[in-house]
Amino acid sequence: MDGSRAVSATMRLRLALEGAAEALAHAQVEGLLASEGAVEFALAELPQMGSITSEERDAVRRELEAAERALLRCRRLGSTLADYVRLTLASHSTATSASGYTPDARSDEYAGRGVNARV
Amino acid sequence: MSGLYTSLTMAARALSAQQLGLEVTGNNIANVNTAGYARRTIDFAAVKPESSLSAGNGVEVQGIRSIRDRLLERRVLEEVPTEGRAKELTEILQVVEAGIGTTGQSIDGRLTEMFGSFSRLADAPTSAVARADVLNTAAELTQSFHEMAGRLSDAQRQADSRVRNTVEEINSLVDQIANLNHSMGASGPEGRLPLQDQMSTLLRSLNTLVNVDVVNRSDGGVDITVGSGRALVIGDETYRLEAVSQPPTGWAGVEAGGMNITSELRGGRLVGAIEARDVNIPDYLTRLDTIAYELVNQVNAIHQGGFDQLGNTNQNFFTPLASAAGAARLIEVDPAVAADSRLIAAAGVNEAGDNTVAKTLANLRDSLVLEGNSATLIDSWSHLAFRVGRDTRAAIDGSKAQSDIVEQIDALRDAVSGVSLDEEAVQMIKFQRAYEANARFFSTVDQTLSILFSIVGR
Repeated sequence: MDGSRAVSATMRLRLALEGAAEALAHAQVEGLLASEGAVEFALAELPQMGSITSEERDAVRRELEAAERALLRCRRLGSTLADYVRLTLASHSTATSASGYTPDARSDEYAGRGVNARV
Repeated sequence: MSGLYTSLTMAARALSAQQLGLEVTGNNIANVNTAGYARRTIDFAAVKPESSLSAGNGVEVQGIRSIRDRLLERRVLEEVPTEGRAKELTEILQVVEAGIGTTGQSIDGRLTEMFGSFSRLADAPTSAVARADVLNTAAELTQSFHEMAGRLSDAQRQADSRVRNTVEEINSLVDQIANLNHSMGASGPEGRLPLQDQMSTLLRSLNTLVNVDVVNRSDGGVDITVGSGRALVIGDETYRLEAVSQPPTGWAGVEAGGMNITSELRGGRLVGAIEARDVNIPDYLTRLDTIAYELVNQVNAIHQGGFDQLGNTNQNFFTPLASAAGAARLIEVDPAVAADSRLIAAAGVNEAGDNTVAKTLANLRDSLVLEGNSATLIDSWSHLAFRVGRDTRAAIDGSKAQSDIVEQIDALRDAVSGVSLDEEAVQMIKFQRAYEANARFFSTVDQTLSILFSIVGR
């Protein structure tokens, strides 16, 4: 695989990871689902090792560093999301909480009676 | 059995309830862009039938609630101090980074020029032009050190000024919260709803400035402590923070009730400014001073072993410095040498035309004299510039990461607005599944990146 293909392949990976991070940051379920395929595709397209030309080395390195930052962002946001989902479900009595969080009595008190007045 | 009157009463009650529901909805829509506003819901309840044969007595309004996810609000309050600290650090360090200058155009460039002038002096040790060149480049170098030390000191003063201003902002918010506490205590449950919106906004603003602990009161208000449980607001009483100049530096320490609590503070813009002022910038200043001090000592040591054009020996090129502290601010060419270029010692023996010392001075450029004899003077400057860049990058990344998290929590809150708790839970699970689908690839991506980095290097 030549250098320019290596750059474009690493760029695709970086863009896919940044897409996933953006979807996570803005709570976009559809975007997150779409980015799964993009990451998978980018992984499959990555160049063979050892075939990157010296001219393209810096560009590939920059893409890899950016991809690494995007991956870190995905993990941080994913970790917050998982934490948030677990605690939210626990607070609504729809999941057991490992944190010892006591479910809010309000959810039972208003079960079946609360009418959402917002349109 | 219900009569006509009962039916009419039931219908009127239902109409009244629905009208109130519409008002609540209208209020929600009107406040869609109001900061801190939590949507209201109206709770209807079936009126108990009079007998087992009755179909029921319709519906009545039980009350209006403000939908506040305490868990979510707590999460936001936990995250914003870290975001505030990183943002403050970023803003201050970006100024420092800009002041450091670009590679080759800053102190490193001036050092290279001065050593180059020594090299030219070695080529023509009796040339008055070469000697004047040495004095010019040395003067430019000392000027660069002075300016750099001045820029760093200015940044430190600005950081201190931000500490003082932030304390004032905190006190202003504390006063507003205490006033709200007072208003909440004086109003009924329904009148508290708009006050709670304001409280939510104020608490978020306060946490951006400094990490505080919030305890909810039964009357809807809050008590607030900072650091190791120092009271800021108890009911409608305030306990203001003070920025007091501390000896020997004169920088502001944060005091509560006469106690210095600076070291107890854990997050927020206040801590970011304190960290930049007390940790980052002093570190850069110390490194800059070390370079200047070592330059003076090394050049003087070589220069003292040489002879000038008048036959003098054991003379300094730079004015000697007692210690590294403040060296970048104090470095200067010895006034006698600066006034007479013939006093530059270029010769190793007292003979006109000898260039031994000038060559040794030129070679100092490549001598490993700093950081445990592992770095040249220019290397050490590069390390300082790299450290400033790295700290700034880390602060920017940290700020971005925290902003992402806060934005994400806000977005999740918006995403679940207007849906039932069950729908909210479904949405959450859907989101979690979508993330898990991506996360399956993350370890593969990580491994692949490591392999590729091993090929292209870092």
